[in-house]
Amino acid sequence: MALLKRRSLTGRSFLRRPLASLSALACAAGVVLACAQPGCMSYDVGLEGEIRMSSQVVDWRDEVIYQVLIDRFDDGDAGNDYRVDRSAAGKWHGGDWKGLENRLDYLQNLGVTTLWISPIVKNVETDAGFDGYHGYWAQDLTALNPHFGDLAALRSLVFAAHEKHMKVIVDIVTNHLGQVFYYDINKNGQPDEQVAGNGSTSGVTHINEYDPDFDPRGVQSSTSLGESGPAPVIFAHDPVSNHMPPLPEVFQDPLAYNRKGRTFNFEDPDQLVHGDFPGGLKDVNTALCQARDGIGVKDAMVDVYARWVELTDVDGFRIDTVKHVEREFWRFFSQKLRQRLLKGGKANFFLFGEAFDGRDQLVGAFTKNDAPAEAELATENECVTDDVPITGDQLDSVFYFPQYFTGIRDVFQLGQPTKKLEELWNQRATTWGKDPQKDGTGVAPSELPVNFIDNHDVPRFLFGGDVKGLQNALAFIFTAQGIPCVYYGTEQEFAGGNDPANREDLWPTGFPEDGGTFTFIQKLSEIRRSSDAIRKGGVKVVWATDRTGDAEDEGIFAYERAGGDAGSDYALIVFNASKTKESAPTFMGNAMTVSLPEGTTVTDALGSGKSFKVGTGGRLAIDPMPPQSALILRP
Amino acid sequence: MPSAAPLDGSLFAASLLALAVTVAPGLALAQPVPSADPPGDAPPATPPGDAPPDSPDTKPADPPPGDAPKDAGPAPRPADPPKDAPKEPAKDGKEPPKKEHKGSFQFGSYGRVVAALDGEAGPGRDADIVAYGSRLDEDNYFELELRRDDEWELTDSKTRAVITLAVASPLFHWDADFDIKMAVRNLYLHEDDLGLKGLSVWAGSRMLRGDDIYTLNFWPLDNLNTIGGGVGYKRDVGYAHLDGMFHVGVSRPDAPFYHQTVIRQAPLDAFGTVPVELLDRAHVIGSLRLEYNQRFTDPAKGPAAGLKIVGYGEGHGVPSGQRETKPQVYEDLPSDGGFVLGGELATYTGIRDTYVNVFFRYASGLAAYGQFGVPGALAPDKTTSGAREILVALGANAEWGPLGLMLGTYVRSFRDASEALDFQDVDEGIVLARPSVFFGEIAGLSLEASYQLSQRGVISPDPADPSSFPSGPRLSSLFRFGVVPFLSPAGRGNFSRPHIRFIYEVTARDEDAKALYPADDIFHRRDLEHFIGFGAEWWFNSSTYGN
Repeated sequence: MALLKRRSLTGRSFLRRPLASLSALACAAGVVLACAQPGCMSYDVGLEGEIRMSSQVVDWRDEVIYQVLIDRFDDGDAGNDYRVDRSAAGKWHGGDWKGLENRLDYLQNLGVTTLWISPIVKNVETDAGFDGYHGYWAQDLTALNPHFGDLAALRSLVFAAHEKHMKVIVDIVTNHLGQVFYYDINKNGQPDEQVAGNGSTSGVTHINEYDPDFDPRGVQSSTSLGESGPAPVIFAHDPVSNHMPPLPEVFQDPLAYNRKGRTFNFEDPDQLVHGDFPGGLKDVNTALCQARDGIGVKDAMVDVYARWVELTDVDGFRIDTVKHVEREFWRFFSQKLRQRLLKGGKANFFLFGEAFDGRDQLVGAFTKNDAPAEAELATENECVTDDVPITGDQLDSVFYFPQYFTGIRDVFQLGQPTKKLEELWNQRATTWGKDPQKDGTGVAPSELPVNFIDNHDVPRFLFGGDVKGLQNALAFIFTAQGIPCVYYGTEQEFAGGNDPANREDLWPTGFPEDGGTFTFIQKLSEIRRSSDAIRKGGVKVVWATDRTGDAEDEGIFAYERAGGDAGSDYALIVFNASKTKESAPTFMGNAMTVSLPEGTTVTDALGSGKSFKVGTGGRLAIDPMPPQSALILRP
Repeated sequence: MPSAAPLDGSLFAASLLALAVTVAPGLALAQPVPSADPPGDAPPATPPGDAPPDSPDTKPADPPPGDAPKDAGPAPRPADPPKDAPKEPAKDGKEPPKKEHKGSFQFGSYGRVVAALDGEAGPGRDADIVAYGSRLDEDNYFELELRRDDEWELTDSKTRAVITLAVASPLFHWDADFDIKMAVRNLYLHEDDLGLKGLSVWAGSRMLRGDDIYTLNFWPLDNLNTIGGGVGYKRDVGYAHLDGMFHVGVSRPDAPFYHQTVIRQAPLDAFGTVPVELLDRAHVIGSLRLEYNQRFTDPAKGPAAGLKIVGYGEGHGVPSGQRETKPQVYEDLPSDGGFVLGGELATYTGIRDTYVNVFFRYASGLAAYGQFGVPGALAPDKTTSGAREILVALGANAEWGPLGLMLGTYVRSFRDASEALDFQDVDEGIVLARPSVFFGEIAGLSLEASYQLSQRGVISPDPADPSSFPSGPRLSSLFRFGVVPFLSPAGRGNFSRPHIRFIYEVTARDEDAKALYPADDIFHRRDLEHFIGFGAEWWFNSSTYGN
């Protein structure tokens, strides 16, 4: 509890006292003033006081995730429209949790079952002309971002979602905080705009004291006479822009940060893990714990984020920038978080991370269950204070960025050989965790990748593709092993380029439900919901090709979904990813071979009306498929 | 007894009282930023320049003791009897006794306007190097006073409600800006003789002033403008007049020593920021003034000569506080205090405003900076201990036939709380004489001559460099001579107003006086300064000084 001097950690002390007092006051006032009259302050039932956490999820493979950038989804409460400037993509636009709650029917009609909402905690308001609308510039991990609403609004959203059997995942960041301090390189006690930088060493030509270049020794003070030792860390104090000392208070200790400056070479392991994220985002030293190091960074991270679950009953965390975090942190964080939530009644809490990287081994490493070397584990266990030792468990899943690069971009957008995709998938069995994390989702991480075609950090699919290609890619992520994740606006065929162009306001569309891609996603959701094989089955690639050009199977990629937890259900999904050519899963007279018995007829669930009969030896002849098309064949 | 006060004046007075009561606690507790005193009530240590510390001032010299009562205004007019005034029930069937009331509204004003050029068609500037120099080149300033006087026969008491709106330069539209510096300097209710003849009580914002030196626009002994209250008692014993007043009030200059507003995030995770009064400590001042005025003959039978002795003291205090020197770096400020002890010896003839007033004042600690002075260099313990001011002053007026003579002089020594001799440490003095000749009752001609000396502490950056200035006390001086023909429609006399004047002054400054100005300032370069212009000054029916 000493970690957080400003605010209590538990919902009990944080919320109950003020709201209980308020309730008491309201009740007292009600007796005297007839509180039923208009104007009496009251809260909806269930939005005040303590709440009981619940487990909403049976199997995360049943879910369809919808990623929401809250500021851009819908403005449901004009009362929190502060500093709103919709003329600029980098400013606050006014979206909020109430806006999302208002559109739950829209999302349910789309087939969405889980909402992934952008970070909820208080951020630096604005920095260098850009606003913290996205939520990744945390300043106070103990407070909610008032731009999006208050605790009642967030609870209301979660409760309303749960009423509709929808789940809510919150985006969190543990790697860094916002621009909460500067390095006083020249020791003049003020953040200088330019202290170095000519582009010769890092390519950065304008280095300021908020975002100086990486130095493995730690950022150094220097003047024209030379270096003078580590640069002092000075926490900003500007209430207007909310460049304020961070909370909880442990983050006001300079030692809680790595203090090495901005990463400019992500291939350097030191920079990758210990460097500040570009933009002056201060890298937290997440290796530190109270029991071992005297600085409870790990402990605080568990505390603050467990508290938000206890206060809101959300169902999972999407975790930002996991590859930039000290590795031992993930074992401590995921295990202690799960243990604490489980005690409070929250089981099957989903933890999936984001590692913006195409290397499957690196990305999958965060889901591996292998325990580190004995000595390393012993060191990590020095942080444990509850007598439950650390094991090898980490995250339940990760955002499947390797598939984004290899499959979505290279195959579905650029028309490269589909063999690449098969090779990638084959790696997952060894590069990702093979066993479910204890107290986790109950599913092996290798069977639970979070599949996406785009998100807030990459250009939208339509920025480099067309609607047919988009729908083909959507069919892919809805049928591939794992959990499909749709970025908001995809259903309305948004086509923005890189950040912030890919963060459009959704509300100007009017939320129509009759668009081609909207109804296509509806159909995919329905197919997925009705198919145990697609949701839970194993996967076997039955056709992939490294041929391009005029080859008759150019662009063909086919896989079976069956076995595993699918029972007797079966699905065969066939894609022609070629943008220009009709292709079929055949080459030199050899047709595709599937696992179905001879004579089985399979029919396209996507509505093309096509049926095919399995021939001798499981051979299945498929008519040439139009460019950028898919078949979801079920017996 | 609702029927006891049915008159219009009571409602007005009650409204004023309500306003005063509303304003005063707000100022005492929430402390909105008070308007700075116009130039003149500024700290005496202010260096010379275009914004001299001289008084904006309100009113001319105190009428010589023994003249008309200071509080005199037009005699209150009997109020019209209310036509439909409710009557007390007659217990014995007889007509109830009438409760008579006299009330009147008064308007008063003080003002001065000067339009002047220098010898090169530049603006005419005040060339003083002492805190209080000639009044002739003071900035434009005026007061509008609205006053209500009531006499209550029922309680045999008198009530005065005073509102004084003061406006200081710049105030004209000649710069194309519609803006002025304005302050409510008086807003108080004064009660006389309620319950005890001679007893007075007041509350509100009030200028408390005794006798001044008119030619210097200077109140050397007592000059306060606080928000507070006071009680007084006066009575005549034979030919003698005794008068005493005690007052306690507060001020809070808008300066870092007293006040700091910081911006903080709105509470409860609300949007935006809110200002927070991090340091907000009132300067509490208590004053006691005792006056013994011995007339040598019966004043009721005509002008009486006399001798006046005034004893005066002030106590000053500020509580401890805390201010932010940079974000989240706090500095504790200890409580602080000071006192003033002083007196005045005056003698007068009772005829044609002829008098001599001699003042002495010693101020220590916080009081040495004056009410609105802002302590700068502090003692090591961050207090004003060690600061002091010693002042001796004289003001006089005499008139003989068509001739008049006004004198004003003072010497003053000020040391700030810092032990080191610095620029704020000053010894200064002035001798000024203004002889006049009156052309009948309608016009006159004044000549004014003054000599000013100022000595400040300076440290040479390079004592070995002959081109640099030497360290140590630096004595500067100037001589000024002026010619002021004037029209006096109210008749002759040094204190007869209004005046419409032509003013010509020439000032000769030595090198050390010129060195007090930055190199780019023309005052740094010119040996002679001319001040040529027109001016006007008036006062009538104003109560902005005295007690």
